[in-house]
Amino acid sequence: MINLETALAGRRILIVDDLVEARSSLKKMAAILGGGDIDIATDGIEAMELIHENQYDIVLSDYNLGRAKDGQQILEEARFTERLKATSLFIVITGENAIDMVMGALEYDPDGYITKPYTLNMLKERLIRIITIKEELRLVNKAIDLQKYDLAIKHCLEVLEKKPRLRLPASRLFGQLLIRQKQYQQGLKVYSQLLNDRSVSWAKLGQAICIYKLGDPESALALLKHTLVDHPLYVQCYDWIAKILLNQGKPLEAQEALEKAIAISPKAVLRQMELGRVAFENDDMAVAEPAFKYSVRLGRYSCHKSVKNYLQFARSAQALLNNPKDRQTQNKASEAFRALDELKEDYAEDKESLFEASIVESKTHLNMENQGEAKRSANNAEQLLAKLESPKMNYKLQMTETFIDTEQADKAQTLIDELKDLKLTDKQKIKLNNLDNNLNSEMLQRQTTSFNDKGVAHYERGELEQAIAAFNQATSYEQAGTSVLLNSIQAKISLMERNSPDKKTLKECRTLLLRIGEMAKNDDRFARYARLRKTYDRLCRAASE
Amino acid sequence: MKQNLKFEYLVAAFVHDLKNQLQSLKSQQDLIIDELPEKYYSKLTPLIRQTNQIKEDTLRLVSLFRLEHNEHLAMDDSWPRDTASNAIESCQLQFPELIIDNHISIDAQGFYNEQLVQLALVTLITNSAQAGAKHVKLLCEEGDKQSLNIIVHDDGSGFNQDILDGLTDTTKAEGTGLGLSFVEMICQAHHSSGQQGHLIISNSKAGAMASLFLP
Repeated sequence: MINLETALAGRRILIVDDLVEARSSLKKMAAILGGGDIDIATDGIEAMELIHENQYDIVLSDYNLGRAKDGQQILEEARFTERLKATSLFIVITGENAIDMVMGALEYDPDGYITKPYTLNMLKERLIRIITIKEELRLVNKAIDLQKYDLAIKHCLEVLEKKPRLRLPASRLFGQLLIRQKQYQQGLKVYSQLLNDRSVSWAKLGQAICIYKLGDPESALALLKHTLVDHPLYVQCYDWIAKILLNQGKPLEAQEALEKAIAISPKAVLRQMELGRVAFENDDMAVAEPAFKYSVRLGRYSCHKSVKNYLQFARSAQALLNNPKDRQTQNKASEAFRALDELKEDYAEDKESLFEASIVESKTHLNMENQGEAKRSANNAEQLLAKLESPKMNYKLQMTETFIDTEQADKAQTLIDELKDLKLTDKQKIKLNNLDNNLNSEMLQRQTTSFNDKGVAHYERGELEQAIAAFNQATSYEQAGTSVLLNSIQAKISLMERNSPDKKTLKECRTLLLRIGEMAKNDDRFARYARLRKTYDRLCRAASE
Repeated sequence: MKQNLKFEYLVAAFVHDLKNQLQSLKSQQDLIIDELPEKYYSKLTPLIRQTNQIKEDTLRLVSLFRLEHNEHLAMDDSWPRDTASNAIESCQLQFPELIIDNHISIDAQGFYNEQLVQLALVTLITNSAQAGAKHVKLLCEEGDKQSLNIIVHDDGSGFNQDILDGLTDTTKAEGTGLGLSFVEMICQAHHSSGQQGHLIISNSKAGAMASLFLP
C-alpha cells in the first residue's frame, strides 16, 4: 500500500464541485491528507480551462455539476484532448444513482469513484486503494501515454499473470487496448473469461463490441439489449445499438435507441450530435432541432464545438418554421439567427463557414417570408463564394439553389451553365438536374414575364430601343412563350418602320419567327402573327432593293 | 414519459439532493468543530449523532427502494477492511462506549456493493450494541474466486433461540426489528459464479455471530 501523504505531496490536484460547501470541504480534506497544490473549479467549463492551462496529476470531480457539463464530460474531454495523461488520476464523486453510468463507461472510464456522503476516513481509504492500483498499473499507462500500445498490452499481460487481485482493472485496460489494436478475437476471450466469474457491465459491452467487429451484429445486438435489462442506465449500450442498426440500414430504429440514451444522459455532446445527424437524415426535424441545439449549447465551451453543429441546428430549425406569424415560430427563427450570428463571430476568418452560414441565413429569412433579407444574405454568400480560392461543387450548387429561392434566375442560370461543364459526382449531377428543372419550369417563366412586362411598358411609351432590349432579355430564355416572341418581333418591326429596315434586325426577326413555327389558324394570336409576318416580308423586300 | 418512470426519476432526483445536503451538513459540522474550542464539543455530539443517524436511514431507504425494485446493484472490486472501517466509524458515533475491533486483513478483497455491505455491517453492529454487547469483532475469511465471509462477532447475550430457528425476526420491543431481514436481503442481492449470498447467524460461547457470505 502506498503512503497517501507521500503520494499526494508534490502532485497537482484539481477539485471540481458546484456546491461551495462540498468544494471547500473536499479541498480541506485533501489538504489534511497531504495534498498541497490544489486548485478548485466551480463547473465543467472552469475545470476544462484549468485542465488546458495546467498539467494535473489528480482530478476529483463531482458527477453532477448543474446545468453545464457533468464529471463524465470533463473526463472525456480531458482524455480526448490528451490534456490528462493515462498516468493521471480522474476520480468521480457521485451519488449511488449515477454509479452505473460512471462505472460503465468503456472508453473513458474514471480511475475510481467515491460515493456520497463520505467522511475524511472514507476518502482516505478510497484514495489509498485507487492510487495503489494506479501505481501497480503504471507501466501500462506509461506505455499508453507514449502511444506504444503493443507494449502496454505486454505489460497488461504481465500484471494479469503476476497480480491476480488486479484482474478487474487490468482486464478493463487490456480489453480497451485489444479493441484499439483491432485484436477482437483476443478481446472477446478476455471479456468472456472475466464474465464467467464477474458480472461487470463494461465487460458485457466490450464483449458485444468484439462480437460485432467479428461480424455477428445480431448476436451483438442481443447481448447489448440483454445488458440493458440488467443495467438500464448503461447508455453506452444504446450508442452501440444505434451504431449497429445504422450499419444494418435501420436508421429509424437507430434514432430510437439514441433517443433513449439521450433521455437518460442528455449532456453528452457527441451523442446529441449523433442523434441530430441521424434524425436529420431521417427527416425528423422535431428531433434533430433540439439535438443540434443541445450540441451547440454543450459544445460551446468544449473541444467538440463545431461549425457543423451551428449550421445543422439552423437548418433543422428552418424546417420547423411553418407559420411566420406564430410567436413560437418567431422564437425558433430568432434562435437560429442567434446561432448563425455566433458562428459568424467565432469563425470570422473561415470564409467557407461564413458562406454556408449566409446560405442557411438566406433560407431562414425566406421561410420567415422576408424576401428582402433573404436576398441580402444570398448576395453576401455570393461575395463570399467569389473569395474562395477553389470552392467546392456543393457550394456552387447551394448558391444556385439560393439564387433560385431568392428569384435571381439569371445568376442561377450562369452558375448552372458553369456547373454543366464541370466534373460532378452522380449525386451532384442529380442535384444539378433538379435545380435546372426548377429554374426552367418556374423561375425563367417568371423572369421572362418580368422582362416582357418591361418591354411592353417601353413600347407603349414609344421607347422602341429600350423595348427591344427588354424583349431580347425575355426571349433569351427558351421558355419565352409565343406572345413574348411576337412582342419582340413587333418592337423590332416598328423600329425598322420608323427608321429603315436593316438586315441584322431582320435576321433576328426571322429567328424569332422560326421559334414560333407554324401557327394554327384558329389560334387567337394568328391574325397578329399573319400581320407581322406580312410586314416582315415587306421589310425584307425593301432591304434587298 | 411513463408515470412509473417519472416517479422513479423524481425519487432519484430527491435522493440525489438529500445526499448533497447531507454531505453539506457534514462539511459544515466539520468546519464548526474546527473553529469551536474543544470544551464545546460535547454540545455538538447530539447534533452529529443525529446527522449520522439520518445519513444511515437515508442510505437504508435508498437501498430498500432499490432492493424492492430488483434494481441492478453496482458491484465492483471492494476491500472488506475499508468497508468495515467505514461501518465502525459510523457506529462509533452512535455507540461511543462500544469497543469495535477490525481484524480484517488489509489485503482481503471481494466483489460486492460496498455501500450495501457497509449498511449491513452497521445494522449488525447496531444490533449487537442494542443487545448489550460491550465488544464487537469484525473478521473476514476469503474463499474461492474472491468469495468472502465477513463475520460480526460480539460478546452479548446471543440470538434468541426463536430467531435462530427462524420462528421470528425479532424479540426487540423497539425499532423496526427487521435488521436481520434487511441484512439477509443485502446478502441475497449478491450473485456470482452461480452462487447467491446469504446470512448465517449463530451463537458462540462468547456471544452472537453473524456471517455474511458474499460470492
